[in-house]
Amino acid sequence: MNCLRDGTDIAFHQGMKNTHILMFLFVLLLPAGLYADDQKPDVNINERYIVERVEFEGIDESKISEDLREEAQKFVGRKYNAQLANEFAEKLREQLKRRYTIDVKVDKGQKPEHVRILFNINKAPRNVTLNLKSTIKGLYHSKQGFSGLLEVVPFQDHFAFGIVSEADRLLERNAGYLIRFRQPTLGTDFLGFHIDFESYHQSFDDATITALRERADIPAFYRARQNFAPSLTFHPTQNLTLSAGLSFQRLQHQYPSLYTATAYAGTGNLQYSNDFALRDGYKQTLAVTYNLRTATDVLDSDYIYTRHLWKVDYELSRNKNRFYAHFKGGIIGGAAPLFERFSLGNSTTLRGWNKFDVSSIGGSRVAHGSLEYRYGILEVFYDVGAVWDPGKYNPVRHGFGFGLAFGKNLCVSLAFPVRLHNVAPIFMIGTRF
Amino acid sequence: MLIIVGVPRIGLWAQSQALEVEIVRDSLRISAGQLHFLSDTELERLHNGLTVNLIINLTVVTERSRSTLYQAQERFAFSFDLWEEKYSVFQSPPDGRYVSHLPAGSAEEWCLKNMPIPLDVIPDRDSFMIQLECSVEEIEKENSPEEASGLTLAKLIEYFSRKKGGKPYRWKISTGLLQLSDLKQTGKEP
Repeated sequence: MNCLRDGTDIAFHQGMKNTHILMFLFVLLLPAGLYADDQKPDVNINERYIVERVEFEGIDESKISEDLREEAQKFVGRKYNAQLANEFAEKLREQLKRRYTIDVKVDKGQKPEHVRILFNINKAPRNVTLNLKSTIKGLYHSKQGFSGLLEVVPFQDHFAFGIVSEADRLLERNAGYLIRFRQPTLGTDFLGFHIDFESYHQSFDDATITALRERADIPAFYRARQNFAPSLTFHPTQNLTLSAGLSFQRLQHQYPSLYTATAYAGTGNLQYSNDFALRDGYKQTLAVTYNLRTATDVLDSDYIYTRHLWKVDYELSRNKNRFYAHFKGGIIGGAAPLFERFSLGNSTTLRGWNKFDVSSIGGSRVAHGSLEYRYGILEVFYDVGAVWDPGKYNPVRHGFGFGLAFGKNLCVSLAFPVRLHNVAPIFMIGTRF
Repeated sequence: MLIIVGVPRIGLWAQSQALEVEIVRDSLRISAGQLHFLSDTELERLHNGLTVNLIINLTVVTERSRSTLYQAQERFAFSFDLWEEKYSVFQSPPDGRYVSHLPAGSAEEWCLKNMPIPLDVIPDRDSFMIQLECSVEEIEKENSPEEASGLTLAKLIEYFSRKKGGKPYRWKISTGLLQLSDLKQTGKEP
């Protein structure tokens, strides 16, 4: 490089004079087809210098995973590579859950012809300004009708207000509003504080009301439900999230007379998630969740029960190919009200089935598995699962389907139940809840 | 030996500048000595050891029909040598030319020098104009935390208000009317 004359341009086809042999090989290879037309040049003159050290500024290094810190040290002693540095910054950004902005800078090192790479990490701005960020969810399910959610966040990451009319997740249709308060950090990034308040009016399918009359062990249906749920969230490591809180629910029953019952529960949620980069461009993501809700007379709850739910979500991807596997299993002990009971047959479970055909009053046991394959936006899926109560038989059911999927939740799907009669497809379009 | 033409039309924030046009052997060469492609933001990025990609478009149009006689687009990657404190430029393949050890102005000038317009596309008698468009390739926007999930009103508004096509050019500049006969030939490389 040093033998390049000032201001001298070099054209390969015009011959090379007095240039270093490495430079010759470098430039000789470039026009020979190493770049596709749509590739962008990223030739940085500083790539001839050796990396002396890598530094992180603006963050406690303990927040960066050991793997990434080790990876950063691999830059040292090698020639600076702008593309690799940018890719590393993107990994950092992913690991820090995008709560930080990361700028890459390169500066002269202490030794001649050496450079240091500086990753300048700053917290993403959390301005308390009126920005009216909104989230819209809408789903049409040919058996269960429309579900919709409009959530407005006037103060970023703090308050959210929403209106809901939703019949996808539970055995009931909830119509009402919700208010959320989020304080993602409480003095430290490891601790956050949440409060949720929901107030809904319920309506139930006729099949549920009829079946409930024959089940004295299940609390009666209700016409209104409010929930006040404060919780603390801990992030002991980057991959682990632990939440603990309380859920104070009040249910307004109409029959046999108007009365209010309480379901006051302690809640806990433990989640482990991690991304693993594999060879040949494969990437896999694993999330394991355990959720506990226990209503107890210690909290002066009218309903006494404990609900356990385990979930495993796995994703393997490479280029446009994505494979998903989901599993969930749950057990309820005690007499849990309807909103706690498990059900299958919605936009994410046993697709192809109507949940009121699977079990109109849900069950206290659930097991469900799902496999999905996507190529670009094309999707095929297969679901299998059962929901039951101890001592009451309810068969394992299968469903499959295909459709289009945009991002994680937006879909257009046609799903079929696997059975010998009444194989009516179910059409779904919108955002999965 | 060369003609300096006025600037009748200037893009977004280009200053009042001039494009210089001359004939060098069998091509037209453009230069813009007073025009700087690199703004303070790009210079700051370069001084932080990063790469800045410039996209330059040259178009020759006829006076009468405004039909395009010639069009060329080139991408140039600028970087700043942290130790020698000079600029280097790499031209995108297939030409793939490379230069180093230049001050900023010379590096910018080098880009135009490597975009010659073949003389045989220029009409002998008709007037023509040369348009120069320049943009800095933007860094891809980082996803903000709230972009991770869900469909938001802001996303919808952004989606529907997004213009079709590429990013807007940072500036565009055009010569006045030119006649080949008015341009003189330098005869050799400057």
